[in-house]
Amino acid sequence: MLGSRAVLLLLLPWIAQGQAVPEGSSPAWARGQQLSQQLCMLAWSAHQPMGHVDLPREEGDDETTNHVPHIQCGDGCDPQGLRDNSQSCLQRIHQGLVFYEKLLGSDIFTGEPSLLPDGPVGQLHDSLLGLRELLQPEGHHWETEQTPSPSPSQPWQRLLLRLKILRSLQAFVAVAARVFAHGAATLSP
Amino acid sequence: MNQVTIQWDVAIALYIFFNWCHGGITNINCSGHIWVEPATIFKMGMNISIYCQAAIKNCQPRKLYFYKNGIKERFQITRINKTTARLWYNNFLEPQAFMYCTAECPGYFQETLICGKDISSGYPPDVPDKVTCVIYEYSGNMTCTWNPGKPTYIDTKYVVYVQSLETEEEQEYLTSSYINISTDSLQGGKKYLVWVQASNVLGTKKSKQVQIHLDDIVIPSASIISRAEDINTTVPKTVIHWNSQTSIEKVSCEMRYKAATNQTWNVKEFDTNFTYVQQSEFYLQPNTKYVFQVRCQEKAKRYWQSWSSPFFHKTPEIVPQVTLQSFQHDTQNSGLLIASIFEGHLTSDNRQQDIGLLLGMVFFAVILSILSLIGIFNRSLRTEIKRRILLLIPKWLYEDIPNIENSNVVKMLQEKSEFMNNNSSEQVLYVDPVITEIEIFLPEEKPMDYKREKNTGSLETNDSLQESLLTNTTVVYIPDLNTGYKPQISNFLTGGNHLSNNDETASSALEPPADCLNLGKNARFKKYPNFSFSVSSMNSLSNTLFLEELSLILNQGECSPPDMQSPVEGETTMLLENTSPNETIPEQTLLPDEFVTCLGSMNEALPSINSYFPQNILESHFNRITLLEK
Repeated sequence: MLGSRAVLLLLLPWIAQGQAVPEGSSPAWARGQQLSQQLCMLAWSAHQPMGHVDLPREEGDDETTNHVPHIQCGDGCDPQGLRDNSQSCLQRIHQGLVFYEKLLGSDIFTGEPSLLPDGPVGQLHDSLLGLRELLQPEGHHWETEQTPSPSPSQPWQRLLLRLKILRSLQAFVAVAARVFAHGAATLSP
Repeated sequence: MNQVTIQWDVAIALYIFFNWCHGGITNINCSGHIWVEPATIFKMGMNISIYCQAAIKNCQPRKLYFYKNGIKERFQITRINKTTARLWYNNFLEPQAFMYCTAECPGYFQETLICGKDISSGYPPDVPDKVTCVIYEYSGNMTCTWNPGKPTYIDTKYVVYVQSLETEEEQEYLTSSYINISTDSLQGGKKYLVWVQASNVLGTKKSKQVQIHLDDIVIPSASIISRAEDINTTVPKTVIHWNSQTSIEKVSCEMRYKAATNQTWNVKEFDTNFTYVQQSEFYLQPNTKYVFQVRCQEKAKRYWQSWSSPFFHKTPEIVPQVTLQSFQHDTQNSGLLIASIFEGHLTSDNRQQDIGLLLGMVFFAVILSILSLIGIFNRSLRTEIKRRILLLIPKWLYEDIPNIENSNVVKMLQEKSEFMNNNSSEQVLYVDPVITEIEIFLPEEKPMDYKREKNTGSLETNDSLQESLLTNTTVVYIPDLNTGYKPQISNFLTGGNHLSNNDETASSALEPPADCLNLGKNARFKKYPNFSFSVSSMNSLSNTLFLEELSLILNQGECSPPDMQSPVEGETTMLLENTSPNETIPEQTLLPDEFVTCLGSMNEALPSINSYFPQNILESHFNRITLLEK
């Protein structure tokens, strides 16, 4: 299962629907590294209050992608790809951030059972917004993949959906943080 | 680089792993069914059963688990069959709970989700009570409210029915609490029937019908208390100013007031016309904080305004005397008039106080000036004042220099000297503190112009001193460096007959002028023996320095004429002032030249306040002498 999943990821490169970042715009690697690391910590701390819930396995979710943006090999987020052209990787990260930002603002996190307004999820949302804005300065718009809004959920579902989303986000920002750390170490002017 | 690549691969692997575990992150896939008996929404306190039936492919569940709010339930679970289990709750009181169940499938470490359900408990609605519909002036709406009764904890809806009594047309308005119905929508005349129906999943209740007439339910616009003022007429009173923007002409109002610390309200009723600002008078206790509220209704109608917000006012402690005459005339301007009169009165009070203080100060200054002028121009009075002041104040206050005769130490030494003189068995040479002359001589070399001390008493003493000196008695004068005036301390050595009268002994080398000597003739010179000391030989035993007399009397009158020597001052002096250097034989002294010069300069211009310098100078020279002796 794992092998087939990996092969699938390798064989299905992400097809970017937007334009690449204009050449010559140098990303703020150091700032991105700082924000992505902060994002990693917040994602873990936001997950902890729900840690008492054992996330059950769902039958038949192998085929479900739900339009979750994945960082794949074709996105050029590997060291060689970043050295050659970092824009496609950054655009992929940007798309993922937009996706998770949308989820964090949905009723999954805002509905019952209610969360603390100034809790870690709120901070996570703000930090996510900061990194997204760093990757997309004002006046520069990347076309992002149109992700559908999540369907309305029932309260009992939200308990589980929050866990799933946060765990997925943890994985995503872990990769993003590695990208920015590598960029800050090797690609910063 | 290899390390970076390895970390990179690990991160990618983790990411793939999480994605594999949770591919669909925005929806939940159920693998079975969950239901609640009697219902998912039930009356609070009921016993309920929650059933979970698994429908997982290729899975015969070993166990079925129930979770409430994410926490696994451990008890009251019954396995009904291979795929179904039941969770039973007794007297369930939680308004909400989020349930889901899982199955333990062979071959999977994780539990597999079956499905979930939200359950709620609550109460059916009470009958809506006290249905009230009013029209707030200028609002354009008819507002209907009611008492919903106890909380239901579950979603409850209310439907307001409005039926025209004229047209029998019925309208329904759905709401969750109260309802605002536009008056424009009430086209069926003035009379209506209104009732409210409350309903939720547990029941439906309908209120009584209320008949209303649109003209009877209007409430005037809010009344506001604007200010309060305290007026002191014959009896102090407080005037409360209040107003309303209502256009209703006939309005009945109530104003209630109480001391802030009290619980009981006092109510005054008014029939009001709001053409003008309303003023209400109250006779209140002074220095008390009161609270006022007002409300109005259209006269003879049903509904009152709610009470206005509390208006607090503290009555003054002392009400000033103000007579107000124009208060009765213009109700619009009377408040300002009162305020200005009140303020003016306070100002005049302050001004009178200031004038009184100023007049007092001027009067005091004039009296002081007159007394000063009298003191200046009336000599006898001035003299008398001076005399009385001198009598009153301590003597040391007007002494320029410390009077040696006042020294306790001198007196002690004097007593001691007398005692020693009378004691023939102990022939001790005493040192007298009040000596103002320095007399230096060598026994072997008598001054040619030696003049015998005319004071016989003193001469006897000098003789004894000389005798002692001839017998090699060392008397060292050690002035204190720290304090200006100190009685001289002498070191006595007995030996020889000090009391023998020896004419060969010179008593004085520095002789004051006749005037001053005349002064020295008075009896007090005897009373204060001369200061005498001797210095042992410097170069040889035969050379002995005698400072027979050292009299340093520094008078404020310096060497003033005899008539200037006030007997009151009581200073027995032997002045050095007029002692001519010629009368001193330089060869007769072993004092250094500086010391002689010093004495000479002192003779010429005796400072009035210089009692210290000889001691200081002497101290240094004596030290030198002592060193030479050693």
